[in-house]
Amino acid sequence: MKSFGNFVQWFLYITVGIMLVCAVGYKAYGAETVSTDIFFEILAAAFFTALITTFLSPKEGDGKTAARIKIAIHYFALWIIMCVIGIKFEWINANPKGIGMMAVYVGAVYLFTFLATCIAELKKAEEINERLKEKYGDEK
Amino acid sequence: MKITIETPKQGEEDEIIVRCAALDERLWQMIQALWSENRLTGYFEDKIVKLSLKEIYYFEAVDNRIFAYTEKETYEIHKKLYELEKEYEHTDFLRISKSVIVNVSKIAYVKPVFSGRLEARLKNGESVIVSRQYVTALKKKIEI
Repeated sequence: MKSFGNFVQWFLYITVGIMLVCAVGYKAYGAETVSTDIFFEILAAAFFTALITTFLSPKEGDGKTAARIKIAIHYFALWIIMCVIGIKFEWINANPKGIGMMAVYVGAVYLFTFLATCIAELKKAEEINERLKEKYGDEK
Repeated sequence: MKITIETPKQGEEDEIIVRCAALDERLWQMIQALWSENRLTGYFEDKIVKLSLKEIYYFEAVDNRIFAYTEKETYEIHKKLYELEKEYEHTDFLRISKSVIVNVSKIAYVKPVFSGRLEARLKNGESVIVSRQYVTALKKKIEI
């Protein structure tokens, strides 16, 4: 149940992240028409990447080094799966340039997801800190 | 015997005042019972110390042994972590991971660490990790 909750959370973050990258990409490269298939392709990509993220993201008890290694493995796993999906859906060409571009796209989604998570976590911590201060502020 | 329960003002400590003409055996036993609820026996080398709950920052399970950490000292406690959790569930103590029960009133602040966990910095400068699954319980404990 906990893993399912994590999966849904990652699915939502990643979907929004891919949508942003696509929106910026289409605007920058001046695509005038976009196939409606793109929505299902985005959802499929988000599904597989969220699945990988649920199982490969750092877990309880992982030390700093283990967490960093897992993040690196996770990034490369996402890159590989997104290259396969990208070539299948013709988002990229199956050449070094296309694969290199996918590394950048995955990095952008990674950064967005990381920042979104950080903001949510910071907000939660702030809320707890305020309450702690109210309740126990002067206690030693 | 008349029993009066009053709610203290905000910021005031909970207090039990006994008003009696004479401290008889029955009353003394009640006081002893109340007193022992807030005391815990800690062991350090060959010393046995009565610890007040208020001075304990957190309990930690290490290799099947339980330790209580005060501001500067560490004492072994001859109880299981789940027993302490159950016994002190109505106090400021809260289970925050598989191996730690923290005194929430001793948390100075929390900050996020990767994957939904929080690092709780205690008022004595030590840090403990609040596991993702216990963050909701922490929020509930401090009435968020």
